[in-house]
Amino acid sequence: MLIRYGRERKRIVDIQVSDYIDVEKRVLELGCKAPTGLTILPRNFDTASSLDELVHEGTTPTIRSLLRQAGIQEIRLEEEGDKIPHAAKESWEWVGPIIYISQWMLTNAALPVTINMISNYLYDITKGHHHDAEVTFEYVVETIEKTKRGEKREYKRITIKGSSEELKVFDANTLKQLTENSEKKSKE
Amino acid sequence: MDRGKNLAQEIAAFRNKFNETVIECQKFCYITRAKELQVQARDRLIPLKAEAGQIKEKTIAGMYEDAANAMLSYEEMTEALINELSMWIALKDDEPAAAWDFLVDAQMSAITAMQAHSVADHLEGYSMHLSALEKHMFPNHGFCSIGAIVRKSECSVCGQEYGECDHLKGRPYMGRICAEHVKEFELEEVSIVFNPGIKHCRITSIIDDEGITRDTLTWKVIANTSYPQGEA
Repeated sequence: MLIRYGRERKRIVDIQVSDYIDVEKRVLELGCKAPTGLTILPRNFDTASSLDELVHEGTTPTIRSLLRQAGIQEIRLEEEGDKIPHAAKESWEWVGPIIYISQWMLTNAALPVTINMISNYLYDITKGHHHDAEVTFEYVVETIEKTKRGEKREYKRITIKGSSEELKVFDANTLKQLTENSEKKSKE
Repeated sequence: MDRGKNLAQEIAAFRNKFNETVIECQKFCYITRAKELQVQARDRLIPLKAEAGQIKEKTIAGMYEDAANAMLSYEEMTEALINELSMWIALKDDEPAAAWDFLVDAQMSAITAMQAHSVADHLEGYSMHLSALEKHMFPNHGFCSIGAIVRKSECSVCGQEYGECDHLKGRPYMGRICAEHVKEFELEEVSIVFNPGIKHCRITSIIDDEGITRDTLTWKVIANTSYPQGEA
């Protein structure tokens, strides 16, 4: 057996929450299908000037396979038969796609399954370089607030950075809490 | 039935031989060890790797997926050690560029071994040891990395469009690690990075402020393009 060496030093997970563009409005501008439930957003969804410019993150095909294998339905922005290309970048850093979560999906049982599945996959594929592999993934969460005039929709972008080992502690409850805290702050 | 039993016995015998040989050969993974003994250790490992490959082929033929992945892992662990020994030998031969390539190959093999099967789960520490060698023995040079837009890519396991089949990049399937083979792409950018995906794509020479081209590993002058004083 090869010699065992010391354990790596611990790092801290970096989580950032910010406001995201109006997804519903953006979908109309681009002329693509509306995301409902769980949808993978292209990396330039907020800045692309047309549908042809959209590019998925390089890890999108892998995440799609994972979702399909777990029986989780993904609603695609593109029409059937159309394809949005994906990026390829040679780097140790694993950058996940932006995963859109609708409000009803936030309380759906499929969400913890999705997050755990991604964490487990990342842990497996970063074996041998857990100490230097950085992992980034993003969620865009829809929040709906009932007002006197009807419904007010807001979108929060949650970016998580860290090693695949540290990200194992990030779960669906953390995502819900971060979204709720961000909503409260917005109201204050 | 007997075939499976015989194969299991062959794998168990190989595992014992592997453990004994690796313990013996790893003793020579230090710079102070004699070069001729390092060469002997490397030469002992080469047939061991070939034997792992042969048993792997038998497990694939018998459709024993877990055993095939375990044999891939043994094959890659042996390869990692062959490459580490080759790195020490190349350094003694004053061939730092070759030593760098062997180190990177050792790192890649250790990672593949861990991805292939849990028999290599203990290698995280070994992988950190290789990272430490990289940091302490080689200068911190830059690397080139490309960014591209992929229009078409295929799964290395089944040949279908990657993402539309059930295989996942970095996971083992019947003695092979799944990879995405890019078939059609548009180059987006070439950038200089310090944490690249492929460490073989390194910057091999630089031109200093005086116009002298130097090898990034040895710092030896490759070409002198500086102007004599008063010209320029």
